Amino acid sequence: MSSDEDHVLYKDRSDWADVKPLDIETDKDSVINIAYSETFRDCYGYLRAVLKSGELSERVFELTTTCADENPSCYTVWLLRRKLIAHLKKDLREELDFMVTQIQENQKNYQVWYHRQKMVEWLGDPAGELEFIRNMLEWDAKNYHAWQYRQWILRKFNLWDGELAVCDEMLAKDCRNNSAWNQRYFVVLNSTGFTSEVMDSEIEFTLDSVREVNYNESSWNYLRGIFKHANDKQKAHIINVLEKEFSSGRKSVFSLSILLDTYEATGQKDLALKAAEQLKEHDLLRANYWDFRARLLREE
Amino acid sequence: MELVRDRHVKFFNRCLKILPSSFEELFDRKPLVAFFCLSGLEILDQVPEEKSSFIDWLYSMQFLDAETDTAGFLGGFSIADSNITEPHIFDVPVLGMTYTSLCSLLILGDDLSRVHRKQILNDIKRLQLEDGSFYSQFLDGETDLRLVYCAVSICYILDDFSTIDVDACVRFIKSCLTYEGAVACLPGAEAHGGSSFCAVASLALLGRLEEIRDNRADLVRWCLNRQESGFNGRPNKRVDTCYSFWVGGTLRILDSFQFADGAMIRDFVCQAQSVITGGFGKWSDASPDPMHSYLALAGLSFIGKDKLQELFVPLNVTVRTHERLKKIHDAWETA
Repeated sequence: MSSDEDHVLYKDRSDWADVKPLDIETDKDSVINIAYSETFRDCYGYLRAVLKSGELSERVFELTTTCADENPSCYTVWLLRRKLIAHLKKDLREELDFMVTQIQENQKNYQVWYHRQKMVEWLGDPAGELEFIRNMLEWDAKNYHAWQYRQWILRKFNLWDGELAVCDEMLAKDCRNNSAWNQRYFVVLNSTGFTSEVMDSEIEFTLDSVREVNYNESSWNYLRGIFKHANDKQKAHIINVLEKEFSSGRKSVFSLSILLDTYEATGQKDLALKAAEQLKEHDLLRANYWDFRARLLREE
Repeated sequence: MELVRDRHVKFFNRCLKILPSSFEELFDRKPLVAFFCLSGLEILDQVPEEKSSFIDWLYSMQFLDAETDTAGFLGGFSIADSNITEPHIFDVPVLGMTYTSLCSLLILGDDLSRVHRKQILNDIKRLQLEDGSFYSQFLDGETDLRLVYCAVSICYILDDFSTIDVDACVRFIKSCLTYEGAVACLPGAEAHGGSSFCAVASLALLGRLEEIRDNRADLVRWCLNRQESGFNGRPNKRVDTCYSFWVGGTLRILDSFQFADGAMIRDFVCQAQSVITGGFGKWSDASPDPMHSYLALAGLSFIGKDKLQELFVPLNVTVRTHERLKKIHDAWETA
């Protein structure tokens, strides 16, 4: 928001004197009137006027900067800005610099991330992007837009080297970061694939993580996810570890639910039933569900 | 804690009249706000008596491009102007606005007779990408499961899926399933409560829920694990009132909401209501906004404790609104 005192309204600018603004409040606005601030109403009034006149110029480009500051969600501002960038042959690197502040101030906004992506697509060069996203993840390590954009960069420019190390690092910082686990899966799937060798290390990595922090849905979900890529020996190993934990009295609901599904899938009905009963006892919030699962097993 | 119904009615009616400057970013997506307010009032059985001014206002935003034979609804008049003789290239309907405008018209009891059905379907057709997903608007724009849901809902309302490639659309939805068992916004991204709803609801509207038969148990478990007090949208994230609809609704479509703890959800959601101004925020002490207010109420309707109108979940409108739509379909059929 450009609430700074230096901001001069467009209606008071001599270089805009030739343009008559079109008020953004029209006589058709009979529903949902908005108490616009003066700055907002001013710049968007001029935006509306230039949209109608079709002017593509440096001053309109500057106007879109103000409009983006005032309202970064406005699709039209970004569409017009992209048109101007192409038309005026603006420096795309400068635009990326502009988008740093835009994204920092509007981290959960679809349009700003999309605009940055478009600029990098036009540039055809991802230099600095992974680092930029990494910095954004320092602010919010679970920012959905940042991760989604990171995946686009990785895929588009084939930048898989080193990405697993980034996941390691982020998970070391916070093993409950579900986005980082998801990224891990994404990276393995698209780079090495879940080969038998990779699986050995992924299984150990994940089991280590759940040993350290047991009540963590993210790591257990990952284990569940990679389980389907495991060979028979690896599957038996995972089940063995979980069963040992089960009989040692450490009752993790996530681990139990993996056991339940595995027993059920392999026709070990008694064991499955036992796991369902345990879940009913230990996962009170979902007791109805585990009871339902137990009933299904009994009825089989 | 009791639901302060009268306050919420006042909140929605107030938002339909005027929003403070803190909401000025919604100025080019007014039909979205109108939908949240009107649908909130509909759930509370308090839709305004005077409907024609709303109906006319919505229709005045319907945009018809004769040259390309396409149509859709705009987000307001502040940028675009649906009356100008030569359409400006920035006068483009956005999928979300068309979907919410059509829903609002249905809530208001309109018969959709003034809707440019054929042209809207033409627009949807040209917005579909080869991978089955949809652009948000014609020039360029994001493409993810939110837009798939909007496109599918529009086709459902207009009772015609023939202009889109349904199989490609289903393939795209399935490609967003993740190793966690739920659905992400895009292939490869993280599973999320909002996109899981968009996926499951779209499949329900397409009559293709059986496509995820094998994923159903995982999806139900993932959704149930979202509950802490209310629901969160991803593992290890904070609970938020909007997920009482996105996650609760997904469970409803999968016939599994009965396994969630309704009393706890209700407590959480009611704590997030503003007892003085009406409306709901993300959580307790957060300031209320139309979106969270509507989604919180929609989520409460699943619990059945507060005399709220029942929802036809896949389309996110009440059962009675959906029944009215079915009658409109019958009339189109015999016409």
